[in-house]
Parts: sequence; structure tokens; C-alpha cells
Amino acid sequence: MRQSTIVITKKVERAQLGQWVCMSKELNGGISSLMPYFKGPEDIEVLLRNRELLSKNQPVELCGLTAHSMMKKVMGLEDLLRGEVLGNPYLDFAKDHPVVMSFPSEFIWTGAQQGLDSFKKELVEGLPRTSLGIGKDEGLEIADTLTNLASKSGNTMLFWDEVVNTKYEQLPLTRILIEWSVTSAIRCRAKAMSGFVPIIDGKIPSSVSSAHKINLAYADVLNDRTESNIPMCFYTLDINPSMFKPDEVEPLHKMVTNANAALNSQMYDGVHVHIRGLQGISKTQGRINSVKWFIERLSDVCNNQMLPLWWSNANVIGLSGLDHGVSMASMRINASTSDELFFGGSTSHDEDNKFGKVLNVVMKDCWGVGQVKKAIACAKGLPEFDTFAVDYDSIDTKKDRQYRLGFSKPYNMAAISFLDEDWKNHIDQGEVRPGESYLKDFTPYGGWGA
Amino acid sequence: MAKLKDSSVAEILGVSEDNPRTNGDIISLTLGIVRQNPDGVTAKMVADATGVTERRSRDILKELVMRREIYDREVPGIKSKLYYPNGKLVHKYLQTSKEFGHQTFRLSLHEGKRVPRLQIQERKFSLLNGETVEGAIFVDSDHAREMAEFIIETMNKFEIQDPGKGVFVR
Repeated sequence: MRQSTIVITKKVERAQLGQWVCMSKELNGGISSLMPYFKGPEDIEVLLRNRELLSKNQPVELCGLTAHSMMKKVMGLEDLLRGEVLGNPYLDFAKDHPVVMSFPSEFIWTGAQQGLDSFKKELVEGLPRTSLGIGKDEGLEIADTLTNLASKSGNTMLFWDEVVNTKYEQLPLTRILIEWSVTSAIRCRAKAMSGFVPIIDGKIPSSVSSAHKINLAYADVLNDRTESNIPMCFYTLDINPSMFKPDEVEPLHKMVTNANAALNSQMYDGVHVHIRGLQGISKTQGRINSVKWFIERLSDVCNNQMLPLWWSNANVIGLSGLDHGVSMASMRINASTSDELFFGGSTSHDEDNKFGKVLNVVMKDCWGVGQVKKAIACAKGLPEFDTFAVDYDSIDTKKDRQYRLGFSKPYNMAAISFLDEDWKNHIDQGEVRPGESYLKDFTPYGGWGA
Repeated sequence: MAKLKDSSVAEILGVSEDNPRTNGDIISLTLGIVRQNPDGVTAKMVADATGVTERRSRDILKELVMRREIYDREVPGIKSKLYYPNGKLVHKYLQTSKEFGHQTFRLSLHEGKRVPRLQIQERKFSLLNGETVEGAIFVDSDHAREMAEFIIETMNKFEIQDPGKGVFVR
């Protein structure tokens, strides 16, 4: 059942400032925020080593597909990070910053091996922790079945149609997947979660109904639980770029109608939207217009219920979203311009992917390691923040992990917080659409600018 | 084969009136079965009723014994252990939890033979295992206040000045 509300303190056109509150969950997070998105164990390490880079009560988004790996990492770092803090540093963090956990299902659509491997690992770890009484061996068997189904499902709804019909001791695998994700979110003390739902694709009109059905099932499961640490439920829309055609909004109506019906049921605490392929969409103004139209309609739906609209993994485009009524937008801390969650990183051969990008808020660009090396050579070019002074001599451009952990990711966290605060300050002064004004000459997202 | 788009929420979750196995999770269902059989059940009886293997059923019963939701006894002449329910929760709202640093205590009032019984359950949250039950004790409710006074008395003996700041032993 719905538990939270947003309290708006200032509005400029569609943009709003305020708080997202829930007394029973001791939740008090700022809305209209650009916030960091943490994908995996390395990201969580960066977060806990640099939590001072976040604003007070700033919410964060964690990727549920690596939840157990992230918590294992935290356990390993416990003694190192404890310092003055009594108890576990992550639990301490989760008390101060609302954690929202999401479960993007794009790897099932793409069949990306790295995603499938991670999925299996998390299932093996997580299934025995559910309240379904699944043992370790049985967990492994179920994980095998699910991963095999996923590997055959690329670009179709096969996985989802199969899992609802495949049963393990009379329990459909859909139920097992839902319980697994809820257990992962509880383990990470998430205040709210969005579900593991089918991707909505332009070529498969029924995918809208399929995603809606799984969303309804999530609300049913979460509302059935009475424990105090059960996360709030977001209505989830995970969308392929094929849904966004130039200046064509007809295919988007059904999603808006479903979201509206869902929030009217009072079973959800907001809408969580993730749009894949934003980089491709950004190349065509007509498609950008369709996304903006869609975001505005969802914002209307959420505003009617005084609930938040969360745009996940939106990169700096989230600033445009905030102008159009999005309550919270997240951005990955490697500033990746790709929307794929399970590519890149240390296994990639491409140097830019391996080292990750650096968000240069002044040049309005995401710099690769080559550009950072040039900046180091002349000891200038990277903007500094109140919370992060750039020490050019200490940036390690030889070892990718050191570079990401010690420089690029913490730097991006500081840059995200800076943009967040800057946007809020402009709204506070009554400026109209500061996000779009900023983005108009941002490479390669200028199309989102005013 | 029904497609997901045509499936009902009940089908997605495997809930059906004919199949109690799927009406809720297996641990709750096992607890329900033990509570409905105050004369005791064996792991095999639970396995037959829930459709899981006897080994799994025994594991779940063991977990419930550890939580003090149920207790077990070895009965002469019977090879298997018998499992019995501890008193049912008096009311859903007579159950409350509070965190004290690393420890969480759940207090709940259960039906007892003579008077309701207060259960004090110790829970612990760890990132490795999530929330787990460490153990529990029962106190007859008419002795609960005396028990609380006994604790205070004991603590006074040790001169607990301020539990938030420190413990000084005389």
C-alpha cells in the first residue's frame, strides 16, 4: 500500500523543489535531484569511500542485479571503512540516504553474456535467502533454468512467456524472480524498489501489457508482506528506444494510461522509468520531443497523486527531465554515455570504456582518459568543486582500476552533486528550464537543450 | 501455453484456492500446519501437506524451532521428532520491534496455557545474511513486569549510570 508523498516547496513551470517523505520509513529525501547510480561492487566501494561528496539526504539508486556482490564487497571493506562509525558503514549510509533499488532487464533483451553471468551469480546467492524455502542445490538448478531461458530470448518476449508457465514445485518462476528481487532489496535496506519487468518494445505491442502484469504482481507481493523493512513499490517502465518515433506519441498512450491506473490503485509509491538508447534518440529532434512528451504525461500522473517520478540511468539528460517535472533522475558514476549496464569496465578492450569517462561540467563533455592525460600535462582543464580538489599529480592513468576508484568515479560523484545543486539554485531563483539551458551545447546531448 | 500478457496476477504468482502450497511462502505455510495440529506433526506429515521433500521440510521445521515459533520433542516409540506450536500470536498489533545498536528485539504476546506469554526474540541484521533470528525466550505475561524489574535491579547492582554512555562495574 502507498506509504509516501512528495511535499513541494517551490514550482517553476513543471520543475519543482521539495521533499519525498514517509514517516513510517523515516524517509526524508530531496526531490528534483540529479543523483548517482551505483552499478556494482566497485561503485559501492567508491560510494562508501566518498560519501561526503553527496548532498545531505540525497537519494541514491543501486542496481539490484549486483546487490549480493555489492554487499559482499561492503563486508570485505567493513574494517577498512569503519573509522569513527559504530557499526557497518553501509547500514549507516543507508540511514542517511534513501536507497532505491532497480532491476533493469535489458540483458535479457540483448542476451549480453556478462549480464547473464551476473544474473546467474546473483540468483544462486539470493534464492536460498528468500522465504520460499529454496535450498542451495535447488537454487542452482533454478538459476540454470532461468539463465538458459534468458540466453535464448534475445529480442523477443520468450523469456517472460516461458517463466510464467515454468513451475518449480508448483511455484511459477515469475513468483520466484519477484521474491528474489524483493529479498535483494530488503538485504540492501532499500527504501523503495522498482521491479524486474519485461522491456517494452515498439515492435511487440503486447509487451506493454506484459510489463503491466508483472508490475501488478509486484504490488501484490509487496503489499502482502507485513515486516517493517519491506521496500515501497514503484510502478516500473523499462523501455526500448523503438517506442520513441519522431513526433509520434500514439504508442506511448497505453503506458501512461497503465501508470495512471496503477497509481490510482494506491498500491505504488511512484513511477520508475528507464529509457534505453538515449544516445541514439538524442540524434533526432523528433524522437527527443516524443520522450519529453512522455515524461511530461508521466509527471502529470505522478503529480496528481503527489508521488515521485524517477528517471533512471538518464545521464545528464536527467537535467532536462527535471525541467519537465521528473522528481529524481539518476546518472551512472562512470558518466557512461552508453545505456548498457553490462558492457565495458575492466574486461573491455576499448581504453575509454576501460577507464571510464569524466564529466567535465564546464566544457560540457564527457572526457576520455586521453583528454584527462592532456589536462594532466598542463595541470589545468578539469573544473574543481568545493568537495573535490583536483590533484593532477596523483591521478593514475596507467592502471584503470586505480584511475576509476581513485579519480574518475569520485570526481563524477562530485560533478553530479554540483550539477544537482546548481540546477536547484537556478530554480530557487525562479529561472525557467535551467537544465535545458545548460544542455543546449553539451556534447552529444545538445538536442535536449532549449 | 498462456502468454504473460494473458496471464492473471494469480497465475503469475502461483496462487490458487485449490493449492494451498502456493498461498503464501513455504515457511509461513509450514508454521500454519504446525499451529493447526497442536497434538504434534512430523516432518513427513508436513512434507506431504506442502509438497516439498522431507529433508526440506525438516530444515524448515528446524528453522522455526530456532525462531521459537514451534518446539520439538522426541517421543518414545516414535522414530521421528514431533513438532508442536508455541502459542499463537494474540493479535497482530501486539508485536513490536526496536533496534538497540546492532541488536533488534521483537516483543510479541502469544496465547499460553495459563496466561498469555511474552516472547522476546533477538534478531540481527547482517549484510551477509540479511535479518536472522538469533534466539528467543518466553515469559508468562503476569511475570513480565517482575522480569523487567529484575533486569533493572540487576543493572542497578552494576551501577549502570547511562546506558548510552557507558557501563561502570563497581
